[in-house]
Formats: sequence, structure tokens, C-alpha cells
Amino acid sequence: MKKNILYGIIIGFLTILYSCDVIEGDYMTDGTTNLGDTTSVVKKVLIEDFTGHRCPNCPSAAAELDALENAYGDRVIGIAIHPHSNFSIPNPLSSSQYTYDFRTLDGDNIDDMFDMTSVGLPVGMINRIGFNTNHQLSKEEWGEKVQEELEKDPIFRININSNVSNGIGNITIEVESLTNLSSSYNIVLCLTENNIIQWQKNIDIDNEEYNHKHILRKILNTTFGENIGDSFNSGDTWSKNYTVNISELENQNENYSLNTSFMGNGNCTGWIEDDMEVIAYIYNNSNNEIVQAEKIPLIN
Amino acid sequence: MKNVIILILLILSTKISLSQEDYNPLEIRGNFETNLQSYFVDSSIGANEPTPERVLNNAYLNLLITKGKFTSGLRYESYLNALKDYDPQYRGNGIPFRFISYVSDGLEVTVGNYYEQFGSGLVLRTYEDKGLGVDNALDGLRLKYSPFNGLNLTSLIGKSRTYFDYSEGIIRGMDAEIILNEIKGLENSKMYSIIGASFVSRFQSDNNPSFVLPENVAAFGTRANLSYGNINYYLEYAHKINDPVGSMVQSENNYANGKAIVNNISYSQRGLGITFESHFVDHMEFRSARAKKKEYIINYIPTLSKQHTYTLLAMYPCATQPEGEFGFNTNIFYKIPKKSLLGGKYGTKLNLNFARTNSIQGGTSFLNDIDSLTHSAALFKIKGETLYFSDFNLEVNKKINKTIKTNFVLAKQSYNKDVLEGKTIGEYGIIKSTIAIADISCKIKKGHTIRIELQTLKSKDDPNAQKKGDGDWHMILTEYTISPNWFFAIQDMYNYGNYDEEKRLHYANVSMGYLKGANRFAIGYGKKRAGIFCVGGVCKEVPSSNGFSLNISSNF
Repeated sequence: MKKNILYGIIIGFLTILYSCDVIEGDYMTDGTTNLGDTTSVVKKVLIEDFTGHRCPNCPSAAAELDALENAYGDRVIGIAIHPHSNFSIPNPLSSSQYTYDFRTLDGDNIDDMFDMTSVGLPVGMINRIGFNTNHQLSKEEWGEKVQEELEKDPIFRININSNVSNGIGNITIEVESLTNLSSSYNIVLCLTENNIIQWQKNIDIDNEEYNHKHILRKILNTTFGENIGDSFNSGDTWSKNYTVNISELENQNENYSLNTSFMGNGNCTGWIEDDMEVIAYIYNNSNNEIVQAEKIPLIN
Repeated sequence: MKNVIILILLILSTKISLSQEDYNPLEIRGNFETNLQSYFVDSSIGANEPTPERVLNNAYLNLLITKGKFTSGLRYESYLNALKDYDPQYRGNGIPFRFISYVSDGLEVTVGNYYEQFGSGLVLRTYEDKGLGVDNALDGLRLKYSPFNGLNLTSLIGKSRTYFDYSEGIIRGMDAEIILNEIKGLENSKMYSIIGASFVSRFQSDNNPSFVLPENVAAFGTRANLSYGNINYYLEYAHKINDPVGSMVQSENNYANGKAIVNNISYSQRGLGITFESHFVDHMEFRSARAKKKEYIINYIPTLSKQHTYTLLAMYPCATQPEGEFGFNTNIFYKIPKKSLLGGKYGTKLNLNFARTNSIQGGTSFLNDIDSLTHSAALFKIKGETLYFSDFNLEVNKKINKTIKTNFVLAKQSYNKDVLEGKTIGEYGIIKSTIAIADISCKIKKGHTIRIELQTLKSKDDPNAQKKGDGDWHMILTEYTISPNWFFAIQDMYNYGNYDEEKRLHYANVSMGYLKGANRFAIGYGKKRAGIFCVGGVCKEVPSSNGFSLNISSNF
């Protein structure tokens, strides 16, 4: 009996010894990803990157987001949020560095709801999956979660039309359910901006000309959006038109910076509409999971 | 549902044992602890964030049921919500720890949760430390078997706990240990020898579209512990194969192997003990999932510094750097004999300690398609390397007479705040400090003892750094104990030498406690400074706070 147990354990040991994969270059694959049939409606994934201009490790998370965009094209949609942490506090306007205030009411509300900064920056959410125990993901975890999400079937189609020029216009959203659904869903419509050249801490370098991408500027229909229905039959539609006035939105952010944010200096304007994007996403009200997202440039 | 099953299993296990003949009585043991803390906004100490709950509470209860060869147990944990110096991911209530184990003919079977350590932990150590908020218990099964005297085998498979969940990787492990002196024919050998080998492997699927990631990552180690006469020698070598983090960014994925060597030697005789410990570590953090998160760490690199208990001595503690570190720690313990000139009536205990860690030659090994820095760095190199931490200290423990006991410590420490706290290089640089402690305890009358600690820390900032540290500190602690039931304590830390005049603050605390039988009650009020708290080289940042605390603990 004793011998049998011993042999069993030795065999177990030898089996475990096989559990070892040594990779001997090339470590990169050919880089192609199977994007599926992109002519019909595809599932898209929203990455919310919680960052800060004084956060020395945050540019590496932005690089992760860039790499995911390169791998998956427009099926990956990024939003960069500078929440109200020490990493986002701007210097007074008299200073020569870090005077821009990237914080927004919506970004702070999302941070409070999902408790992101408390685990340390950079951190992100992929479609807000895993709430409320496993949603705070380090950048190394983004890739695998994106892949898992992209393998899911889309359940909504979102169409965005933007008709904005010289800072004024309207945006139309059309949603179509692709299957029968019995849950309640909300839609969120927001504006982001790319190519904001401002200071950024990058490890031990203070980079004066860092290109901040995907910066959340404003959510047009309140931070957590509005309801589009509590049950759906396949083919059901929902649509809405939103008016946009960029300078009004800038003023709202400026007021938030000056009157609410800690050490806010109001330096958050100067939006360039050619660099702005419109992002819409739909999430399930029961688990906060984002089920579909879409993005177009603000100016066509 | 899961918890209901656990409870049924527990009850079943109890019933089985109850139904057997009552050779061994059923034993139910356990302990309970609750820590409640209120939080006030106090911008003077940087506690700016209001706490909406006003009061936070952590509590747990351990229950252990044994009967003969059966043992089962569970731990109920409650974080409503977690205290601020805990990770907020500890949230809510649950029974995250439960197990059943039995021993039959030398085979020990455990199913459910368990803690395990192979050797000194270089390839596997799962443990729980409430203060650090660390609990990486495995959940699965474990077998321990001793086929004959002197050979101990352990095999396990499980998933590692992360807060109230488990990480994605599956951990498989095996350890064999031979105690040579227990083997027939070797019982009388003068050399006491233990040799061991362990192997741990993690499985996690690869769905990274851009990189080929190893799905099975192995770490293995061998060790020997030899004792001859007054000398003891311990050697352990560990190796880990390629374990990239799984990023989409090439520069982040490091395919280099990791390794660690631990070398300890000690000598002891009556009144004298000498220890010398050293280690070399290169890219040796082993995690239960690829991503670099502290809650995934499942191995342990023993720290190489004295574990100080005095507050100011532990203000700048050494955190082990598993990605690359060489260090050593040497201790000389000497007791000046009684009735000698310096020994006095009771003798005098001395402990001279010197610990130092620095970077490894050439830096952490690195390997991917664009870069390679796999090297055989010198295993013992100090000159020219970046200092991480050093501590040179002398402790003198002297009993003056029947009523007065004293303990004095003098230390010089250097602390590379940038490396040890993950700051930007050049931000704070190396903070040097000189610390003196006097700890005097006086028995006033039977059962009444007063103890006073006087501590001072003089700090010198790095002249080349961008920012300054916290500067100089004084601390005083007075503790009055009426044994066996009562204790009262008052302490004040004063940051009198902070370069920022507004931060020259007092952090005062008062506390009292009552102990009766198996129960202990303590209440306190005070301010805590933000700082680094470490146990065994594993550290975490704790925020500043101001408020009342209530602690109740009890055993049954």
C-alpha cells in the first residue's frame, strides 16, 4: 500500500515536471488578429484608462492601449480619464509645468463609482467587466480581457451621426437590438480629444510635449447616461438627437475646475474640434457591463 | 450557495467524528477579532479624503474542529468596509477560507484552503498576514506523505486567493525533503543534514494576439541544511523559466529566466551567536497570474534586515526587491557574563547587526526579440552598485536590578526611498538617518509596571534629490500595566525637523485595554502618520488617519 502511494506520488511529480513551456524566440507572433467578419455588426470593446499627468508609470498604460488599437483596429475604443487623485492635480497657472487640468466631473464620478484610484494608477477597466471585485485591471491584464470580450457576440448596433461645425451642431444616436433581451440598458454619449500636447511625467522624465490621447472631455447625457429600455425584441430601435455647443461644454469644465476640483485652476479649455471624437456605449444596468461601443470623429 | 456547502461539509465532518468511538474527544477551538476605527478629516496630517461611512470595521473568526485524525476549519471575514490601511478590494463578508483534512496511515489529505511553504519560500509561499492585508491561500487539494522515516513528500494543486476571489492561474507543486539523520543507519551521524527539492508550475492560457506566451511557467529549487557542532549552514537555489507579464507592448514582456540564491551560516555557543545571511535575486517574482499585481505574488524572498519593533527604527524599513537585489545581514549576539565588570549582577546582552542590500551587477536580466540582457551577474558585488538599504545598529539589553530593565539601541540607516517605495529615481534619493532608542521598564510594585520609550531620529536628505524626506523625529511612549488586567499607554511622535514648517506636527495616541481570561478589549484615539509598514520585507503604504479605535479579541 505504502509503495503504491509512493509510486503514485512519484508519477504525479513526473507529470508536473512536464508542466513547463520554454519559449525560445521569436516571441512575437506575425501580428495578425482574426477580426472576424467586419462587414456586419461587430462587438467593440471600451477601455477606460485611469491616468494622471504626474503619474510616472501611466505612459506605459497609454502604450498598452496604443498596442491594442494597433492589434484590433477600431474594435478597441479608448477613453483616458484623469480622476481626482494626486497624480492629476495641476500646478498654479504661475508655474511653468503641469498647469493643465484634465479632470472632469464625469471622470471623477466614474472613479468614485468604480473605486479606481484607490488601487493605484495606472489602472483600467475593460467594458467594466468584473464589477465589483475584479474590474480594476492592471495594464498587463487588458490584452487578454479585450480578447475575451471580442469573442462575444454583439447584442446592439450603435450608429452615430455627427453634424457639428464651428463648435455648434448636433449628434444623433440610433440603437438597434440584435437579439431578444430582458435586461435594462443605459446609453452614454461622450466627447474625447486626442493630440493634446501637455506635460506628462514619464518614469523620471518630465515631458513637456507629451501627446495625450483619448482624453475624456464631457459626457453629454450625464455620467451614467440614460435608459434605452428594460426589455428588447430583436430589431427594436431607439434614437435620440443631442445638441452640442463646445464652448458651453468648455465653460462647464472650467467651472468644475475652479469651483469644485482640489487646487483647480480653470486651465482646461482650448478644445480643438478636429481632434475630438464622439463615443457612445451601452451598458447593462444590473452588472454595469458595457455590451457595445461605437466611435466616430466629431467632425466628418 | 458555496458557503452553505462548506457548512454542510463541516457539520458532516463533525458528525462522522462524533459517530466514531470516542477515543479522542471532539475539540472546537478558535479565535475572534474585530477592529473598528472612526475617521475624521484632518488636513494637517494629509487625511483629506472624507470617509462617507465615518466608521470602518474589519473582523474575522477562525473556527477549528478536530477529532482524532480529522480536522476541519473555516475563517469568516468581514470588511464593512475595510479599514483605510487595508486594500479596498477586501470588501463585504464571506467565508473565504475553509478546509477539511485527515491523516490516515501516514497520508495527510487536505481539501479546500491551505497555506504552504517550500523551503524558505523562493518558489512557493502562501501565507496570511492581517496587518499587511496579504492572504494568498491556495484552494484545491494537498497531499503529504512520509513513505519511510526521513522522507517527506508534499504535492498540491490549487488556485491562489486574491481578496474574495481566486486568480486565473492553476498552481501545481511538489516538494520532497529528506532528513538524512532519520534514515536507518545514519541516525548517529554527527552531521545533521536535511536536503530538499521543490517544483512549482503555473498554468494560464495564452490569448495574447501579438506574443507567444508560455502557458506553463515553472519554478524549481533545491536546498540543503547542514549542522555540525555549533555551525549551521543553509543553501538554497531557485530558478524560474520565462515568465513575461503578457503585455501587448514588446518592451514590457521579459522572457529571461529568474534565479535566486540564499546562503546562510550561523555559529552559536553559550553566550555567543554569529549569523551571516546573504542572497542574490534576479527577476524572481513568481505570481499566480502573469500580470504584475501584488496580490498575485506566491513566492517570498526572505528579507535581509533586522525586524525592528521600535517605531522610529522601523520608519524606513527594507522592502525586498525580487526583480534584482544582492544583500547580506550579519548579527553578533553576545552576553557579557554575570558578575563581570560590564556584565553586572545579571549579565548584559549585546546584539550588533549590519544589513545591506544593493542592486545587482548589470541590472535585472532581460530578454525579448529586441533586447537581451541575460547575464551571469556576480553573486556577491557591492562596489559600484546602487545602495538600496543599509542598517548598522547596536542593541544593549541590561537588567539593572529586580525592578529596572533597560534596552538601548543606536542605529545608522540609509534608505533608498526611490527604489524601495517605487518612486521616480532622483525624486528623494537616499535618506540617511541616525536613531537612538532608550527603553526603560520599572516594576513599581507587585503587578504594576511602567515602561518608557524615548526615541529620536536625525535625518539627512539626499543633496542631489528633487524632494526632501520628513526630517527629524522625536517619540515618547509611556505604558502602564497593571497585570493581569489593565494597560494604559500614551505616545507622541513629533516631526519637529520637517523641512516644511506646517508639517512639524505631533502625532499623539492614547490607548487603554482590559484583559480578562481569553478576552481582550482595547480602545484608543489618535493620529497615525502616513508611512510604510513592512513585515519580513513585504511592505505596504498606509495612509494617515485621525480617529477612535476599538479592538476586541477573544479565544475559545
